[in-house]
Amino acid sequence: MASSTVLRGTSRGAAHPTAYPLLERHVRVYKRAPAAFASGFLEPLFYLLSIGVGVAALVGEVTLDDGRTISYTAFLAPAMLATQAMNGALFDATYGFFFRLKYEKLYDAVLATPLRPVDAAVGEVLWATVRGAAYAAAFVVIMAALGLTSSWWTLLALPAALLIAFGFAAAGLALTTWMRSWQDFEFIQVAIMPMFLFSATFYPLSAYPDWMQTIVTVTPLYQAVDLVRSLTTGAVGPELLVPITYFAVMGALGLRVAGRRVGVLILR
Amino acid sequence: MSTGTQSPTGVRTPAGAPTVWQALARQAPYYATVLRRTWRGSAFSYSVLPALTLASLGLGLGTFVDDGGAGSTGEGTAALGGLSYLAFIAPGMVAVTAVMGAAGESTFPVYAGFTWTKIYYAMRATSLRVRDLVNGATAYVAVRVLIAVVLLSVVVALFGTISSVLGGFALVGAALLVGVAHTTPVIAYAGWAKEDTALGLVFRLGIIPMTLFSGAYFPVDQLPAAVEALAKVLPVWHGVELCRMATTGEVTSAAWVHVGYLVLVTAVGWVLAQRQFARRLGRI
Amino acid sequence: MIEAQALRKAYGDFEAVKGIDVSVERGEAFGFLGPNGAGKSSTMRMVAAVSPLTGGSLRILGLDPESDGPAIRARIGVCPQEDSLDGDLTVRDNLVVYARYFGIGRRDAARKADELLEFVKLTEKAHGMVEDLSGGMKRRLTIARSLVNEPELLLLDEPTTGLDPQARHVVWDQLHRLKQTGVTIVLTTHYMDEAEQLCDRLVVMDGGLIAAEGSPLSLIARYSTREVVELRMGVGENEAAAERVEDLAERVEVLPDRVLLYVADGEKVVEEAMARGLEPRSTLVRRSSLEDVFLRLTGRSLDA
Repeated sequence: MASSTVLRGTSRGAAHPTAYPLLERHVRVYKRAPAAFASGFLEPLFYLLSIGVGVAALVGEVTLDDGRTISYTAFLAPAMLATQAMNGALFDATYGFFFRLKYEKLYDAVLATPLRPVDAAVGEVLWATVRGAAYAAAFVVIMAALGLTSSWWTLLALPAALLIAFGFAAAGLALTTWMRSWQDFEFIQVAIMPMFLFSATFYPLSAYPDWMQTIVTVTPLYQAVDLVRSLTTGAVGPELLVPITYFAVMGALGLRVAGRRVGVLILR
Repeated sequence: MSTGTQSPTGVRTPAGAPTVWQALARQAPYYATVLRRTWRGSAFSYSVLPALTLASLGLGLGTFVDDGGAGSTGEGTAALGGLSYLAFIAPGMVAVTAVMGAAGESTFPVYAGFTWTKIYYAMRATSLRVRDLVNGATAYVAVRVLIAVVLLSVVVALFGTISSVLGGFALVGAALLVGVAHTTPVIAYAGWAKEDTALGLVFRLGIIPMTLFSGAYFPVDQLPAAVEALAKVLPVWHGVELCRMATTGEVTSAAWVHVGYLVLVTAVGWVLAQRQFARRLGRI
Repeated sequence: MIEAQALRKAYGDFEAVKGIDVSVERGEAFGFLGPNGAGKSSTMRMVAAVSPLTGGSLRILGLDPESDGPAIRARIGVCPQEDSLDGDLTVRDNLVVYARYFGIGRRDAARKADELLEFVKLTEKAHGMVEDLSGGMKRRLTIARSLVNEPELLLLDEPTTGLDPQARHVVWDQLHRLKQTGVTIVLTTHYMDEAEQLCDRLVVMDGGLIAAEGSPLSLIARYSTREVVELRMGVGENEAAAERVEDLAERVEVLPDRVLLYVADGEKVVEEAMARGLEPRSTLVRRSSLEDVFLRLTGRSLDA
C-alpha cells in the first residue's frame, strides 16, 4: 500500500487501548436509531402521567417512614426514576449484550484486536450505565419541572441513578453470559416483574407484614427506590451508605465475573 | 376435493384454491408446532405474573385506596363506583394482559415470517392466498390469547372477584375480543415494519401507554377531560369496560357499543393486514 | 514470524490438532491445506492469540501468546472464516471503529478507513450497511478490516470459501498486491488452486497432523506424476475399467464418478486405453495439481 507508513510510530504504538473504543462503537450504533433510544425516556413519563394522576386521586397522600406526608405522585416519581435506571441499564446489558455476543459475534471480532475480555465487559457496562443514567437524568428534570421534589438533595439523584445503573448493568451482564437461548431470558422477567411490583414502588413498605418487609428490603430494586426516594424527599442520613455500598459491590462483582466469563466463552 | 394430481409415488395434490377453512386447516400443523415449542415460556406471564400484580396492586395498594384502609386519604371507593380496588383492577388487568399478549404474539412472530424464517414466502408459494395467511396468523394469535385469558380468569376467580359462573365465561369472551381487536392491526403493522426496532417502539409508544390510560388501573374520569375523551377512543378502554361488566355482572346496553367498536377495529385491522401482506409478498 | 513445536489443541475429548511443527518466515505466503475438520482453523485461532494451547509451544513475532496476547494481536491482522463484520455499523464505520479497537487515533482511523476502502474497491459503498453487500464485497471488507493496523502478519482463514469464481480472483489479486508490499501471509484453504495461486510454501493437514510440507511444485513433483488422465465410465463401470488399464499408469485412483490414471504422457495413455476397447463417456488429460497430492497422501478426495 502506498501510504503504509502513515501510522507507524504514531498513534498505533503509543495509544493503549481500553474499553473506551467500545463505548464509542455503541454510541455510534445508537446515533443511527435515535427513536429507539429516545422512546426510553417516555415510558416512565407515561407511568407518572397516568398512575401518578389517576391513582393519586384515589390514594391521596402517603405517610413516609419519618412521619411526613407527601402527595402520591411525589411518592411514586422516585420509584419510577429508580426503575428507569434499572430498565435502561438492563436492556442493553441483557438482550442487547446477548445479541451482540451470540448472533452478531461482535466480541469474536473485538477480541482479535488488542482488547481483552475485561475491556469488552467494561465497554458494555459503561454504555448500559450511560443509557440508564441518561434516562434518569431526563426524568429528574421532569420531576423538578412538575414540582415533585422537595429538596436540593434531588440533584444527587443523578449520581445515584448512575450508581444504580452501574450495579444492574454489571450484574445483568454477568448473568447473561450464562444464557443459552432467548428462552432463558424468561428468568430475567421472573426476577424483574415481582421486584417492580413489590419494592415499595407503588406504596410504602408498611403495607406488608414484617417477614415480607425483610425479604423486600434485600432486593436491589428496593435499595434503589429507597436511595432515590430518600434524596428526592430530603431524608438524607448515614443509612444511605447501605444502598450505596450495595450497588458498588454488586457492580464490582458483576464486572469481575462478566470479564472472566466473556474470556471463557470467546477465547476457547 | 375430487380433482387434483397424483404423482407416481402416490402423493395427491388437490387442485384449485382451498376454502377459508381448508386453508386454516393446512396451516394448523405449522402453528401447532410453533405453539408446542413456545407455550411454556408464556405460562408464567399469564398465571403467576397476574396473580402477583393483583396481590401487589389489589391487596397492597388497595389498603391505601379502599375506604377504611390503613393508608386511605383520597377519594377511595366512592370513585370506583363502590368497588374495592382489587375488584376494580382485576377485570382491567385481564383486558390489559390479553392486549399485551395479543400484541406481543403479533409483532415478532409476524415480522420474523417476512424476514428471518420467511415462512410467509414459503406458504405463499403454495396454493394458499394472502388472505389465508392473514387468517392463519390471526387464528394462531387468537388461540394463544384464548389460552391466556382462560388462565387469567382462573386467577381472577381465585381472588374472588368474579360474581358468577356466567360472568366468568363472559370475561373470557370479552378479553378474547379485545385481544383479537389488537391482533389484526398489529399484524398489519408488523407486516409494514421494515426494522425490528419498530416492533419495540409500537410497544413503548403504543401498547403500553394505551393500557396505562385504559381505565384498567383507575377510572378514566380522573384524567383531564381532553385526555379522558382520548382514552375513550382507545379500543383497550372498551375492552376494559366490557371485562368489568362481566366480572361485576352490571351489564348495560353500552355493552353493544363496546362489542361493535371492537369488531370494527378487528375488521379494519384485517383489511389493512391483507394489504400489507400482499404488498410485502409482492402481489395481490 | 511463527514458530510452533508439537502444537496441540483439544476441545474436551476431541483433539483437533495433534502435535504439529510449523515455522513461517517473514515475507512468506504460507498455506495450511486440508479438508474441513483437518485442524486448520484451530491452528489459526491459536496463532491469532485467541485460543489457548493445549500442549506444545508457540511463538508469534517472537512473543508468547499466553502472556503477550494483546501485544501480538496489535501487530497481526485476522480475516476469520465467517465474516464477523459489525451489522449495526456502516461499511466505513466498520473500519473506523475496528481501528479504534487497536487504539488508533480518530483522525488516523478515518484516513486509514478511506484508504482501505479504495484498496478493496468499496468506496462507493462506504455509507451503506453491511447487510446490503454481496458475499464477495463482505469478504473484501473483512480483508480491509484486517489491515487497519498495518499488520506485519496477516492470517486468512478460508479467504474465498463461498465466493463465486470472479469474486475469488478479485480477492486473490488483492492478496498478491499485499504480498508484494512485504506482508507475511498465512492462510488456510481447502481449495487446491488457491493454495497453488497464493502460497510459496504449504503444509498439507489431515486429521490434526501434517501429512507433507513444501512448495506447491515440489509437492506435486514428489507425490504425483506430470499428467493425469481422467476417464468417466458411467455408474458402476469404473472399477472394472480401472483393472483393464492398471498397467498403463504409475498409479490408479478409482473415484465414485471417474478413474484417475497418473502418467507421464496422457495422450498416449488415452490412445492405448481406447485401443483396449474402453469406451469412456468423456476423457480429460490435465496437469497434476495439489488435489492429486492430497489424494495420494490421504487416500481421500477433498470434496468427498
